[in-house]
Amino acid sequence: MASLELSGINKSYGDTVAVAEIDLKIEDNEFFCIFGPPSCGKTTILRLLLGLVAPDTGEVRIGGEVVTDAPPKERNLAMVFQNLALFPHMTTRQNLAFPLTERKMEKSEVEARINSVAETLHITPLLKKLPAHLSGGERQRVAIGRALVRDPGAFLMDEPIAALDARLREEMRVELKRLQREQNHTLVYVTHDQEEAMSVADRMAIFEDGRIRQIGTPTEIYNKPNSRYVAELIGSPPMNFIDGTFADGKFTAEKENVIVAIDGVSASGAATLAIRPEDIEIRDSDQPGIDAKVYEVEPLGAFTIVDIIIGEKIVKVQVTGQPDFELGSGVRLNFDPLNCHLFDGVSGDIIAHAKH
Amino acid sequence: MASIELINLTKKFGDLTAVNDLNLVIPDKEFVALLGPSGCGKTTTMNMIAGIEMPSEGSILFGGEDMRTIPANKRDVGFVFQNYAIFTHMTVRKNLEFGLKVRGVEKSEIKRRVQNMADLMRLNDRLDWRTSKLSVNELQKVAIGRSAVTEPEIFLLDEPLSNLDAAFRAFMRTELKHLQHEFQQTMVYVTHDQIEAMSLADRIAVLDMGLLQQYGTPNEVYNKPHNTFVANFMGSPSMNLLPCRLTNGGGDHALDFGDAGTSMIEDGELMRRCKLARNADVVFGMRPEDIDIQPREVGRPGIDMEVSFVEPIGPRTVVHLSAGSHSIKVAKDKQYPIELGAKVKAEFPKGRCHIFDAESGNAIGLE
Repeated sequence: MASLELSGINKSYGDTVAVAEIDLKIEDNEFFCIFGPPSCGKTTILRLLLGLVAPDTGEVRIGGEVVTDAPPKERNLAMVFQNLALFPHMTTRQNLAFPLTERKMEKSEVEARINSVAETLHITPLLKKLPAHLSGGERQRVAIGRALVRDPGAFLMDEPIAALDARLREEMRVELKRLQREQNHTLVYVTHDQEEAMSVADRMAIFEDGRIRQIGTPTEIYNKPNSRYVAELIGSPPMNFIDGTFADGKFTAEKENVIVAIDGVSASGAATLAIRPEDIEIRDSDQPGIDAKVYEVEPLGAFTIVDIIIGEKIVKVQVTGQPDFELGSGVRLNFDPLNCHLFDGVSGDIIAHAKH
Repeated sequence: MASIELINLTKKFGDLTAVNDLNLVIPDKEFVALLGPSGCGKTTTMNMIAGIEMPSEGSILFGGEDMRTIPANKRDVGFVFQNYAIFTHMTVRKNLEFGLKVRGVEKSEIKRRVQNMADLMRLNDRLDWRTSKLSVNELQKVAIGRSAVTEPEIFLLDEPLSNLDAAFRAFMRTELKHLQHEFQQTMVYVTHDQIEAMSLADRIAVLDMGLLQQYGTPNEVYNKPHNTFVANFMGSPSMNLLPCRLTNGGGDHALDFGDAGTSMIEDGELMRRCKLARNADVVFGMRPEDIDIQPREVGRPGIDMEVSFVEPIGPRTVVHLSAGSHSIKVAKDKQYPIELGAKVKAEFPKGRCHIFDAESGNAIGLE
């Protein structure tokens, strides 16, 4: 399949900047996620690639060829939307055949393609059914199938499974990943669900207000977020942040009574200490550590989230299993310096990553 | 006393039975979640508790008193919906005061309660803002605060967090739970999100197709699901449910997974339960976090499988294993290094197995 490249792209609508300074190369056969909160420019990126909007400045390349001014139909990209558009009066087979007969493909070839795609997506038993008789997940498969039969240069998907219920979403994302890997597709996938992005992406780009804040593999981004913004968005339950100051190699938050020495950092001034819920250790109240009190306990079966107060701040700690904690009881917390990130208190940029 | 009793509660809409003979006791001051997929009858049940819908059959008691003839506005019930209903032309303070003024609460008491609620919901610096200037997250805080400030004995919430972003949802979960502990209200919470139900509720009522599937504490429902519906619905990733046959070749009991091979039963508890099975066709259940991944040479019970997919989802890694027509998910803490295609053994530790009848889906020999 084809690589996709955006270089030096800016796009505004009047005074509103949709995307700015975009340099992005999506490799051949890569599963690439575009992730960010609503109206951060995710969908504009897809529209630029598809050719539905033209950039103000910059270049779009598909498979190495410049297509900035090429109309959508010459780009050979297939798109799957969140609100899937199936023809309600056509059976699954007719829906799948539509993009092919439109292109005047031979009948035997159409049949062969439909059968092969139906098999890959496990929808062969549904071929004679109308959309009204399909479940949400089945309809989504057919919509993906309709993009698949075309044999495009790359797939673009805009929140394709966001409308499905949680269990089905978990299944479909695995299915999509399997499909992409088996068929060596280039796939650009827009989502606002961080777990979904982490699960399927080879690499992902995190957007804020039309700009890319970080690009990397899910593990890189989880372990080494380059800003507080990225750190806040990735991970559930979210990372804990404690505002304070950094001086003489030590982070201090007075209200919370947190002091953590971090090696090899010479910066000084306002700083934010950040630590993931699974990286905090809860100790008995007679052990050394930060003085704290149990605020609430949230059992989740496989693990438990313990909300703990230090000073006036609530810190979330994730513990494996179903341990018992008494509400209001005193505990001590241990922040291992090796597990702590340090961000600039003003800009939010990273000063030092956790060492683990 | 504001316990809620639902007795043989049924609601029909034409031919459709939305709620089917529901019996449920919600004790005073408890936080109970009504949990299930869309169409399971949870919202209809809540609407009947509120008095918005009348039951077709059965009755509802508040603190032992029959509510049949009591209209919605006389039930002392607070209500928060998914789509927050607040006055957009008023400030946050006025919104919080509104319900108290209507009830003729004294001025100094209004001031005290509004201040207390603002502290609790962390809305202090927003009190004099117009609500039109607030974010979606803040609006929902105001909506919850507005209802909670009147301190109703019974507080009903219908998916109040589902429109919020993930991080704020996690924050609000904690705050709601704390609110309930502070005010000691009887809380009924409708949700389709099992994580919310688990983390918030003292007890969960799991509903499907208008029928109560199980009622228990979060850990009871998670650890001892009564049937495959509950087993599958609770937990993320969901429980692995593998159809198989009980075999009894040469005195050794085993689970025959067909093209994925056979696993010996050495677990005494599982053995006891398997002996109670009426049919040889069963469903073997195992939580993703309970499965061990081992090298193949280790001779303990399990199935030889291959790694088909790895999901690094932050605090945990979900490893997908497959063999023949079966595939399972295994959840490991933190980042778990394993190669795609690796040949491993999925091992089932003792005391962590579930077994269900294949036909009825009911748990076999649950104690």
